[in-house]
Amino acid sequence: MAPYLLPRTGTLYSFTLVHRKDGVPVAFGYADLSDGLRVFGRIEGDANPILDSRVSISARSDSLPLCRIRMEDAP
Amino acid sequence: MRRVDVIGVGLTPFGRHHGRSTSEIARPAILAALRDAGIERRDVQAAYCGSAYGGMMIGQRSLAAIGLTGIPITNVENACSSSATAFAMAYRAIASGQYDIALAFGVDKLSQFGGGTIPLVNEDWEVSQGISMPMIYAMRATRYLHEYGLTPERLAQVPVKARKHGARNPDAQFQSEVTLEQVISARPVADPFTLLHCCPTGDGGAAALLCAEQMTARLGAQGVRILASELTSGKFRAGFRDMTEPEITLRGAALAYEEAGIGADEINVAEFHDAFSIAELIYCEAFGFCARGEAISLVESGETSLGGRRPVNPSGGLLSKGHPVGATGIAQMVEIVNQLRGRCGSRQVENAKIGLTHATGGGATGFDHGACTIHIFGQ
Repeated sequence: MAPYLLPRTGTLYSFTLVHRKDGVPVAFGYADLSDGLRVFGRIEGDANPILDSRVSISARSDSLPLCRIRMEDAP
Repeated sequence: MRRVDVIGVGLTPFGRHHGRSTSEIARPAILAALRDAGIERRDVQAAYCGSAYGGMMIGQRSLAAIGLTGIPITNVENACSSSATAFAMAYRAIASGQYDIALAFGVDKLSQFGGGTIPLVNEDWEVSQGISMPMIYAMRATRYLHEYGLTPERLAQVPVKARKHGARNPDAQFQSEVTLEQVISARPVADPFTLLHCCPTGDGGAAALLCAEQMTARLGAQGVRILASELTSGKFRAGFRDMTEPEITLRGAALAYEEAGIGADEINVAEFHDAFSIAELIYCEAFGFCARGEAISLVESGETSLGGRRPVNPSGGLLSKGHPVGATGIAQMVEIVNQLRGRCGSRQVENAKIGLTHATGGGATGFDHGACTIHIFGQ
């Protein structure tokens, strides 16, 4: 196993808004990265998730999921 | 390979069996299958038990009080395909001449977890990141609705149909109908799913006795022939995957049709793995019941409802009958075998000659699903 640097951009393949019994709904999705890999992550920001739109990817080390997805073309 | 028949089936009704252990839930199904086949315990030469959460030696624990021990007992875990995999193993053992009569059964008790989604294995990457089965299927549904221009309201017709069927099944966990409005306004779980788009967690058992064709008449049993027994695993892929195209089921369906020597048009009745509403649509397409993107029209036209041309999930499916995961595969076979024998009462499918069961499951990173089992039965 060797470290591999993931691209920071991709497109949103799908998502779902998860409703927990307590607390606000949280969006999760799959992003297809520019190198062909797919990652599962939490969708951050106020913009509505739109399929096939461009997203940026970042990583968190303090909470799960590690991968965070943000809509790029959002106003 | 020898031909193999199913000569007896039995169910422990699906629901919540508080106060009963997993093995206690298995036993009524096994005893019912033995009675149905009209054979003695000493006739059973081997047993295969499928369970996802039953724990070590669930087969032996279930069979101990029945006095069916001292024979080879094999415990099988293959997620939602566990008991269908156990059945496939029994089939292969008889077909190859190893045994003449074998028992396959499945059991699970999901009420032990006190509710919520089924526990997955945390060493899987996406599971470690918080994914769950409802989320996987919900993302599949979101993509499907997007690609084919469907609304969540149209998708909500699938659970309405399932519950209509389940209302005629005394072994189902849910035996009441629901309206479209009830499905739409139920508690949201993971968009586009409300609670009624998701199968309930529950407890139950299912059993089948398999026998070499030559023995069936001698035993005086009403046998149903196994025309195909297909078992496969998903293909791992790290990158892009079309979630609306269930590759494991597509591949398995083609092999099963080939093995049975029939085409999709010859199937009269089917039990598909509808753990969530979207699944029935995707599997109707994967099995060639319609073109891609058109399965909702089968629901809307009534073609796949009881009374329609080709009913899908007459038992109520997982959405209505329930889904104690290890029991599900053989429970589907109980329904199809009884349909082919004309024993399904108010939900009997007219002139059912050939039926199909499909149990697939196991959410894991990089797989469509981990396991898939498809069986075709004929009179």
